[in-house]
Amino acid sequence: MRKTALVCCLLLTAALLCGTAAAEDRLFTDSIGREVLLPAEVTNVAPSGSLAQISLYPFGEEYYISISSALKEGERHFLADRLDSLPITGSMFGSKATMNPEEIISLDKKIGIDVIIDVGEPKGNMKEQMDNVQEKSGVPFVFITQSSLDSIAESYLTLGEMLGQEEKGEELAEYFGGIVSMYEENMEKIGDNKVSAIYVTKIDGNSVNLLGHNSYHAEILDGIAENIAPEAVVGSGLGDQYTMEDIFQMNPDYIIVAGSGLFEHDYYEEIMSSSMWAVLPAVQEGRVIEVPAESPWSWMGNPPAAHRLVSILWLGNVFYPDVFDYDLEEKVKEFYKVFYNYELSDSEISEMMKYSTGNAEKTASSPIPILGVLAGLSAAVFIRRR
Amino acid sequence: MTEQKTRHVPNYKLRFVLLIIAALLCILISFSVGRFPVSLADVIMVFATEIFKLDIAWDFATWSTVINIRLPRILAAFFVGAALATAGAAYQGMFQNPLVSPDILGASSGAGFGAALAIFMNLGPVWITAFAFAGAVICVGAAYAVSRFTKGSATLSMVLAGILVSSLFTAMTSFLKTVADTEDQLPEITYWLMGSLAGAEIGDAIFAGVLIIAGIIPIFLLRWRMNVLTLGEDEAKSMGINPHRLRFVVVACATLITAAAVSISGIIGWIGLVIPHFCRMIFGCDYRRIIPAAVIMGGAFLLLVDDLARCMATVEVPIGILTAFVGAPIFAYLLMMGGRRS
Repeated sequence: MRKTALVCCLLLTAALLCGTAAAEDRLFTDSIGREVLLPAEVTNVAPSGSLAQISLYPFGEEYYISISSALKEGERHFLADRLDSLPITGSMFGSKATMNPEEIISLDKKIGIDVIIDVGEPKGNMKEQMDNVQEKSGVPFVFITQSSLDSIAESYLTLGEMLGQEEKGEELAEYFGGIVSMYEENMEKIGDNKVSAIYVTKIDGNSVNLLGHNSYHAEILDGIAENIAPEAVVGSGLGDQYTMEDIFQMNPDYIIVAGSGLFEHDYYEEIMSSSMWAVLPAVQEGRVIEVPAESPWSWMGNPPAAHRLVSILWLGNVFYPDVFDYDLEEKVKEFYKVFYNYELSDSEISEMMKYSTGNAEKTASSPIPILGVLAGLSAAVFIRRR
Repeated sequence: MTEQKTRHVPNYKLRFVLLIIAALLCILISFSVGRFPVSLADVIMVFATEIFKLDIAWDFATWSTVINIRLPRILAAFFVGAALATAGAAYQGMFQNPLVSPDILGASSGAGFGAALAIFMNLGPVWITAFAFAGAVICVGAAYAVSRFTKGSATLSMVLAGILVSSLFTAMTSFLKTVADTEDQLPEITYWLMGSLAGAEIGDAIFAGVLIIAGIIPIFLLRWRMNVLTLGEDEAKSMGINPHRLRFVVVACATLITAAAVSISGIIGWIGLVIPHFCRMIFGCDYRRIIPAAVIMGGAFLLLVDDLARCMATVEVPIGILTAFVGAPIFAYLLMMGGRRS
């Protein structure tokens, strides 16, 4: 009896909601063909997942009603302060969901969500999953496809349409698409004369993580250089584990190394001060370049959202200055203005890119101490045996 | 009767000699395999250069591969393998249960939680090792404390307390995994939990080596008393041995070496459970032989498995996965052979 009453109540409210909404709502078709009713004016957007959280930013911080994951130091530095005080939701559907429909309903009541967006590569039964959560929670879900570089421009057109900001969407699509087409044209000129490179994502003693080729995260690296790390095995942005032995074998033209935090250079400094790395011509000749990390996200795309386009501007200019012929700092400043609405100061840019253009001075240390101890021990053993 | 007996007493000395030769061969082979090509002759010459201060100018990459990369890793693999096997044998003796492994009191889950916490807090490699070590010691300490306040059989309450505390720590690790950053922290935690020796540096090998040797010595010295304890507590008491104190000392030492091992290698299962069984099959049920055999066999076995981890694929294969893949078929074979003989 109570159950039927409850169901009736629910149906009634649903009908009411639909009734009141239908008057001013508009129908929007998302990237995977789902038709979603959105309010005429979308202002409160809840991103689900880190790609969505990043992708929305160029439209303005005012659209965020919640954030997907807690802000790190770099995000706090570059993004609007307001974001830090928003509720953190995590992922709202799928296997990684941290919120169930009930929680979404209560959050919606608290903060009033117009639409929940997810950005990325459409997978398997995503459509059914989204329909399911949307039906249960009553909050519109929208999926925007953005995976390869070619899909970035399109994704901003769709986002613009969803937000009712078609003009801004076109402007962004033109800017991002412009970078991609400039890159494609230039790479055609370079043809087979690409430099070889490896991207070191982590160093722990003798273990070195490299981003393998043909992985989602390595799209730009694979295109702009010859990524000589073997094919990727693991799908994460941390890449696969190798040892120094492998690095000796690979002997790349350039070593790209991940920054360790906002304005932090631990891995770079380790490479430049290690006697083992010093064997490599790339290290001897200053062809080690560091990826700005947490600025506000890694330039190499971890996570791989549209902000990674800045690494095309950067790597292209470092590897092939005659072809990608422009003032790198100006281009980076422009990118930050468009993407983050942030005016980079000269001191910030030089701190951020301190080791990002190569040819830095080398501080070598010697392997003598360890060697001495070892030799001493072995000698002692040898003498005693005698 | 006596004639039959003498026929069945195997020549343990010969078996020990063979085992040591096999272990030395493993070490030699391990130096010469890997993805950077260094021949066995080169390896020997590099060491000769170091030891006798010969005047040979080595190509730095070759030299560094042998001295900076393979030597620490081989030392670490041997120490870790020896530690886990010895700890396993000691625990199995103390609990008089052949299904016990070094993580029975929660050393692995404690270490796993410690490492996950350090990774979650974005601390460096040294801190990960330190946290893992502390986690293992705290977890076993907690299990021991819980068991002290329970009634009934000492061994049973200790095993139950171990299961209880380690499941708590496993749950906390799972929680950290759900809240960790999925782009970098989560894969790092997952990798750590699968175990790897790829990062081993000479500092790691020395850190673990010192603690492991310090823990193995008391176990080695107490191995005769462990034999007595297998007869039962009353028998041990009648021979003037305090079973509680003995058990405490052996468990403490076994925990120390397990903690030291997992803190540099990550979680490597299987060795502590199975190597003692191998030892028992070859050397009988006498702890005077089992303990030294476990040290050598555990070290050599992990060394071999680590060679596979290095060479099998183009990328490093987590060693915790391989120990089971390599060990399970061998163990199954031995079990079947042993069963047929009896």
